[in-house]
Amino acid sequence: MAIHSHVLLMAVFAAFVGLVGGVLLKDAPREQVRAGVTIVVSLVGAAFVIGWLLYFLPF
Amino acid sequence: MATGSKAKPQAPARPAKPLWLVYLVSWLVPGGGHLWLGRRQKGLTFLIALPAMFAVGLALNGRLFPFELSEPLVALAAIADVGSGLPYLIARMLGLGLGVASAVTYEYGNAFIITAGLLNALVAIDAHDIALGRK
Repeated sequence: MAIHSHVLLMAVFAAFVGLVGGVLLKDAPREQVRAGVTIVVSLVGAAFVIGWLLYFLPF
Repeated sequence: MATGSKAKPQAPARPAKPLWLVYLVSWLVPGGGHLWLGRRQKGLTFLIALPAMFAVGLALNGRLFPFELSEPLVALAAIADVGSGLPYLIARMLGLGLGVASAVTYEYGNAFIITAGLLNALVAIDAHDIALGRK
């Protein structure tokens, strides 16, 4: 596969997990969307936060 | 205290479908258990999303790990891979998932394949709960 962008791959991964997680956790469509978006934002957000924390480590 | 009442304690309702079969169908066909139990929206979502995630993992040069008990982490990854069910079996039969460790996307591919298997395991447990009437 020609995708080599780490951020894009991470976003695709988060999208899959968010889709399945949201549908799995909730029954109503609106709640599923809310849960899915929460999962995606949490995964991508945590990756950026941890990434920046690691950036400042001296080793 | 009431006297003369002959009310018997109610036995728990037996699931309409055999639980082992629900597990088997859910594992083999991602979302199959939900479809069988009448949860069409959930079943179709799992049926599309989980095999797609597995396929993306293979396309990213991910590896289907062998059962090597001498390397516990590899064995655990192999168990997670098997969780995908039919897509895993088909990929094995076609000789896919050899993995290209030198590829930039190798670890991403592994993450996709392993996570797809683990999510399918959660989906099977959810189908079990539905079959029991808990959800």
